[in-house]
Amino acid sequence: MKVEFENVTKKFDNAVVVDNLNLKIKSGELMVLLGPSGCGKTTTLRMLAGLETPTAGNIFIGDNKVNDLEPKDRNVAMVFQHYALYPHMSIYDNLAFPLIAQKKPEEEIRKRVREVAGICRVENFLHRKPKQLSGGEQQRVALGRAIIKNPNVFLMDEPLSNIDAKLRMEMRADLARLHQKLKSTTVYVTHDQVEAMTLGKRIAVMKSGGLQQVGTPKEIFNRPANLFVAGFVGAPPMNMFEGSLTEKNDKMMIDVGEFSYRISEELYNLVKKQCTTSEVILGIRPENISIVNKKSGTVLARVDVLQSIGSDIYVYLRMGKKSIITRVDTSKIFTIGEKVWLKFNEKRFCIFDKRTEKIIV
Amino acid sequence: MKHMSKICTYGILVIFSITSLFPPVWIALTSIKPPVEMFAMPPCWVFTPTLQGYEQVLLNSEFPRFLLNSVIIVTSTVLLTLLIGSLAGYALARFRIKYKENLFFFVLTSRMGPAVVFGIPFFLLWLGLGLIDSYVGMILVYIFFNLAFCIWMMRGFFEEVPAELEEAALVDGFSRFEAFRKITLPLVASGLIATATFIFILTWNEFFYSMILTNYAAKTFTVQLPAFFGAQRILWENVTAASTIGMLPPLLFAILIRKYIVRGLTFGMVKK
Repeated sequence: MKVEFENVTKKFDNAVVVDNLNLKIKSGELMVLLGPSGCGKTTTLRMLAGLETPTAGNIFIGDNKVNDLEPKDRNVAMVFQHYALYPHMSIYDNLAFPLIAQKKPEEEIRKRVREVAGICRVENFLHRKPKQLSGGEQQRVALGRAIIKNPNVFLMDEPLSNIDAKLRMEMRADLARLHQKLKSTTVYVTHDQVEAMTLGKRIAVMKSGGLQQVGTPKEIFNRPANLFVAGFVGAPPMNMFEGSLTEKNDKMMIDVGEFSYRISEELYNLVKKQCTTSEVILGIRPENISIVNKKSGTVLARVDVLQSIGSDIYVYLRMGKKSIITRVDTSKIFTIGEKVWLKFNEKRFCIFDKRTEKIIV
Repeated sequence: MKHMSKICTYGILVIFSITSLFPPVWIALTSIKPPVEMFAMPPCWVFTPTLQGYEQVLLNSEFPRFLLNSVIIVTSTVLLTLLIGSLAGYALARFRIKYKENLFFFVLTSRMGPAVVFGIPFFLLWLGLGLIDSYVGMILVYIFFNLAFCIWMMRGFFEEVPAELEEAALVDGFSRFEAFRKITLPLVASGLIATATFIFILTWNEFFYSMILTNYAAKTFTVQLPAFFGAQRILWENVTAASTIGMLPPLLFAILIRKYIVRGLTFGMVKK
């Protein structure tokens, strides 16, 4: 079922937590709400669940306005950050709980619990208490409790943040598989951009209660709507250079102090036309900076720090006062202090208006 | 060193046990001694037990009636205080309430003055309301004195239960009340029982208010004990027998639920 937020605002006392949110989630879509802590993403989810009431605006599930519906009447299921399994009940009873609420016959409950326990691979723990299960197993039970009631919408509030890194990868794959299988509308809240990129069909990036950008992971990564999104998505983060548009001897340049980068006339005119001032911020992702030999390079920098992550190396470079990060494969060997030439992939430049912080190109 | 500390620990525990057990054991022993041997010095340990005191108290006095009064008043107090106090504690633990902490502090202030301070105001109020010497009057007074403690305890227990659990139940399809009954209540059961025990013991032993606010109809057993102090002599066999009987209900109560008391007292001390 589709979900829609229409001018939704939530205030706690006088603090605005969600600010005039407009968001449409298609039926069957997995939408990730991404943002730093305190950005209003969890509150948004809780409003959809019915655990918070919006101060203004409307929320729709399908074609029904659900503002005044109790959580129990919304047919949504939620997976909580700390699992929220009922500690005094067995895993079987935990899974059966939503069906008991629906007053389903005993026989059907037993059948459904077996079925869901199989899907979530917890069929061997049914008689145990939640405390006797590992974090990953508990999370699978929590997931099962959500699946079992066939909800219209799945709500997931950072379900993987309490699980260790290796298991998180597995669970992420499990979740993706489950979503492919059930094809149910899912709203997934996380502050982990890797999780958002790998899971989301679309991502809604939030900051201080406001929606910054909605788009596919690719769109968000390649064409971030503003400086915040550019800085928040991607690891290591995008390199940002404050600079200005200049024109010298018919050459169009972006001058960032440490270096000037020549750009095409076309790009120059486009930026000039759309930018409110001549001050811009040039954003270049680490992936779009390559270290090359002298001839083809454009900018000189000095190797400052090397961080190997196994598959790649993050190279921190110094250029005057500026620090740049790039990512190279492990076949290249550098020494600290070495002078290297950098080449930028101009096609992947992001140019932001410094005043409005919005993207131009 | 290790042995020393162990000996010290046990030593302290033994001394503590003796000092706290001595008075009740002494009273219980005295209640079955023949009157002539009661105050024998040195105490006589070998005697022919007699149930004369018990016979007097249970069959030939009005003590059973006052004991029943105590049972009725105390049980009602415990149940009503728990009901009101746990609902209030729940509200304080869960809901966003304006000036919540001030409100909570205000509730606690009802226990900040010594009980005697409230004696005369209560007497005059109850006199005006016609509540002197009535069950309702006594129950109301005891609820007043126990409520602050109950709210304070229960708030702590409710705060130990993550709100997420109730929210999960709400989303799973239950109403707020059902979520409370099926999830929260079983999880705070031990806390509820521990609180009940404290209220029971405090109220059972209460003397002052019963003395000034009751006369006969709602008089509790504690006030009846001094009635055995006769004009000619103190009926020690009756006093000790009545006292022993009076000690039994809290003792039984505590033994029955001691498992929960320990759990209630250590609730929340284990890291989740």
